[in-house]
Amino acid sequence: MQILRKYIFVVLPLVLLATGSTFAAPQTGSDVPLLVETEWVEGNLGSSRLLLVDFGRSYQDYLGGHIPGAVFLDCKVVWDTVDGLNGMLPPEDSVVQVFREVGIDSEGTVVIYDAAAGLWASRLFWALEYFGHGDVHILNGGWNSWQQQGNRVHRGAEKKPRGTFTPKIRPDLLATKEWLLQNFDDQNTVVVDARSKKEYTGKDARSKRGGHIPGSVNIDWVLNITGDESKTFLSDIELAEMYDSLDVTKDREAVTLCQTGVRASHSYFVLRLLGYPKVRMYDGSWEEWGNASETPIQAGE
Amino acid sequence: MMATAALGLAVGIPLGYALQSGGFCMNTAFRSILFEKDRSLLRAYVLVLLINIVAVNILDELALINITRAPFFWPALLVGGFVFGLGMVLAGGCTSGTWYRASKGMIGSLMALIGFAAGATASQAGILNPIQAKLRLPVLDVYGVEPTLYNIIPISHWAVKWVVVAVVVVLGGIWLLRSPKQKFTVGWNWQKTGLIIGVIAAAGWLVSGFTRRDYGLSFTQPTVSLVRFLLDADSTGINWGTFLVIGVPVGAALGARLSGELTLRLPKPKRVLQQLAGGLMMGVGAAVAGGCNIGHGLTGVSTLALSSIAATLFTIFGVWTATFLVYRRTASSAARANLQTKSAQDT
Repeated sequence: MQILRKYIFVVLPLVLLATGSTFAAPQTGSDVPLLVETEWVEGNLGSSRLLLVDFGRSYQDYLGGHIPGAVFLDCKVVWDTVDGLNGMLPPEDSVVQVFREVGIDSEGTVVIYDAAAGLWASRLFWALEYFGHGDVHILNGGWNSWQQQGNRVHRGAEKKPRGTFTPKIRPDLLATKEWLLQNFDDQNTVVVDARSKKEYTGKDARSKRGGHIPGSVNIDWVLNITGDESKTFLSDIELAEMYDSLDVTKDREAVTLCQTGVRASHSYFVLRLLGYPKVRMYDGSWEEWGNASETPIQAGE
Repeated sequence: MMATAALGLAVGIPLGYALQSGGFCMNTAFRSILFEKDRSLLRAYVLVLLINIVAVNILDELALINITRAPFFWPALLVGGFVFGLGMVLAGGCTSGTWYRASKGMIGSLMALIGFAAGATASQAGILNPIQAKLRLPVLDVYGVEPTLYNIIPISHWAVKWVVVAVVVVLGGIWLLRSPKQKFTVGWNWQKTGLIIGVIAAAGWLVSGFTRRDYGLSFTQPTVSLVRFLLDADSTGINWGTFLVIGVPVGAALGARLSGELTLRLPKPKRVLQQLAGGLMMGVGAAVAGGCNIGHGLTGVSTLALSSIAATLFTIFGVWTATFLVYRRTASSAARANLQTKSAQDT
């Protein structure tokens, strides 16, 4: 069996090589910041604990180039028309099924990226946190930064093993119309309106009625990001100053909203990033509030 | 990952052994439909299929596995399948055939294998990817689901699937039962080959499912993932299939050693180049189509996926076309044509 022994010495190193590379374990979920940089992703690309999700782009764009190992999710998965209301989270079962199909587990680090300065990534970020995933992150600068730095890209679809994600709904991360009706004017609550000034004042009315929730603070989501090509978030200090100066303080329960719950997710992410202990996202947002008849509205500043 | 490696090798090594011992080659099987009297390898293939059509659908029904199918991107399936078939004839074997022949020392097949790896990676991940992407754009489905042999029937009843399965198995079974006795056997007869590979293939679905990879035996994507790892230190695509494909040469070499067939063989230089070129075509065709004779022809057809059936049909057409062209060139000596086939298979 001399020849067999020869083969073992060829095959065994191959096997060890393949497995050895994945022994380079990344930091665990608790060490990884909510907002990760491209260098971190680069260094952890081969890890079996990392799942990259390409979100908010078209499938064709994804096929044309994405971060190596990233799987694709369509916006509709967590943002669709439900019972006539636009931009809502679809029923739990269907969402969880898609999460599993694409390879999301309950454990393991999920890093989401988009080509929209984190706007879409934060929608999926919120959805995953709402469903109880405890290890979700966003790539700062997303696809734009990745490309700018000339990093390696993959083409074509990627297939990860089926995921085992089990939801544990966090109702404390979602604001409903009923909850808001009860709490919007509470001193311990602060509503952050992430829409444009025109929408806030009612000049741009995208529902039957225009304006804002009385007492809410207008912080347009675009103020969360730098204005340049990198499409990255402002620094923690700048963000903290901005929110704090407008009375959005950590002792209050913050609720973000916009028209359909995407920009609101972006601001939700920022508040989570800054370590606010109580943050909710109002999924119905102005689509619901502005089209309802019994909801209190204030126009103007 | 250690568990995945062990599980992959656990199926790959016996698979390699069985491929070698049974001389399982779908190039020969497909060619024999038109061009040869001895259809024993075709019978082995059909037996593997019948076993898997039943087993895979039952396992899926029992939720022990989760069937996934390739989309019906028909230009890619037809073109890719056809090119794969053409390449198979030049290369002197299908993907699994080439893997086992390379493992028993046939250097021509080793060249075909290298060509296969290069062609597949070029299409999947390299400069040929835009062509692959373009061919895969038009997709047909049945209410958002991949078309199968049964869901295209406009009766929506759960029993339709099983009626189709039963019809296929009965027809195939009758054909098999009416087989003449195999005259000349080196190694295993077709019944043994078909049975053993059939069981391994079905088991492959189960074992792969333990690693949450919802598919059966396949060679193309695993080969690409291996190449990417070796050349690029890119481990993002490594899964159960990668280790399956590492195990195959181990098992095949072992089988060859035990049966005294393990010797290095180098064909004439022109033939070596032919096999390399054939391998390249196989790689490109398989990557474009999303599977080879195993991924589509065996695993995919077992799920009754129309995509795999289409790709396999066009692979068969490719085999017939290339075989016809090769024979036409040597039409001056019909007797030599037979010898050509034998030596083509042995190199």
